[in-house]
Amino acid sequence: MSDRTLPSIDFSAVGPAVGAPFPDVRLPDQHGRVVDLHTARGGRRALVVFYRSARW
Amino acid sequence: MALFAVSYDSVAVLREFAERWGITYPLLSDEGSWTIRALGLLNEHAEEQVRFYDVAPRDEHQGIPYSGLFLLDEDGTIADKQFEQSYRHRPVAALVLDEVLGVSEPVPTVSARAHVPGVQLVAWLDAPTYRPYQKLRLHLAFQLEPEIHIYAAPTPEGFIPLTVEIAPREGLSVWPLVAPAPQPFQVAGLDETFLVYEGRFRVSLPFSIDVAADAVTLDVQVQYQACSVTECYPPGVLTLALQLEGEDLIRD
Repeated sequence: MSDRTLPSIDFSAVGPAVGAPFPDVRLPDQHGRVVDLHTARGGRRALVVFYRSARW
Repeated sequence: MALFAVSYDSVAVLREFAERWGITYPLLSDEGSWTIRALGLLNEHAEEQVRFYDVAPRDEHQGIPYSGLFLLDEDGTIADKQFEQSYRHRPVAALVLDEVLGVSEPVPTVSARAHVPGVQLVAWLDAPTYRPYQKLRLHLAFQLEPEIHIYAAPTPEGFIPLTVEIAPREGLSVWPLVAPAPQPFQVAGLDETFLVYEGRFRVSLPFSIDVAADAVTLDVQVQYQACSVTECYPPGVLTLALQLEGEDLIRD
């Protein structure tokens, strides 16, 4: 590994903020069906995970 | 509780992945990273991070989001968000359950104990196994006898604050210690107020081991200064050893 350091990122300023409504997201799932995130969670709490890839 | 996972992979890639690993919650396909961009979550430091790992840049590094998660309330409000400084790091399940959802698992089998007069210590890990770049926590539960306190920073001159260290090893990353707020304490006869821990309290130290190994022994060193109301013990060191089994990354 290099002796450089990782850039330091302040995530409070990145993406939607805590306390804000989570934006509307509509994307196809693994079956190709379009999922409207807020409709699909149907009033439940939700975890929305962002990850780099299922391939690598 | 609903669970969604978002990546830039195609539906075909996600279908195969879900079938292979038996995943039934929605894996959302943001091919082209349009949603990732619209939400402001595009990893704009990907190139620097890739360079940090001495990896040759590849097309697949383009369009990745920052690694992290949002917790939404019933009404869709963001209650919490937790992101990692590196595209490679991600939390182990027990960490998400505990820190994000407030669900604590029982103390796992990987634990160690140490005690000295006045201070008892139990240490354990989030999981008995690790994968490279998976963030786990070392937990330490202290139990101090009545009348005993240990100092937090800033300490009186000549005293040491509580510190927790994992002995350096290849691939070890360590995050700042997570500890409860110490309590103010006034030494009889002195005007100054100091910060101390008393009774039972827990601290945790997030870490990851960013290399593959069959087994790892974590050597943990806890330094502290314990005092009673009337006297102080010499600065103390408790050492603990915890075993972790290694699993390599899932790779095709």
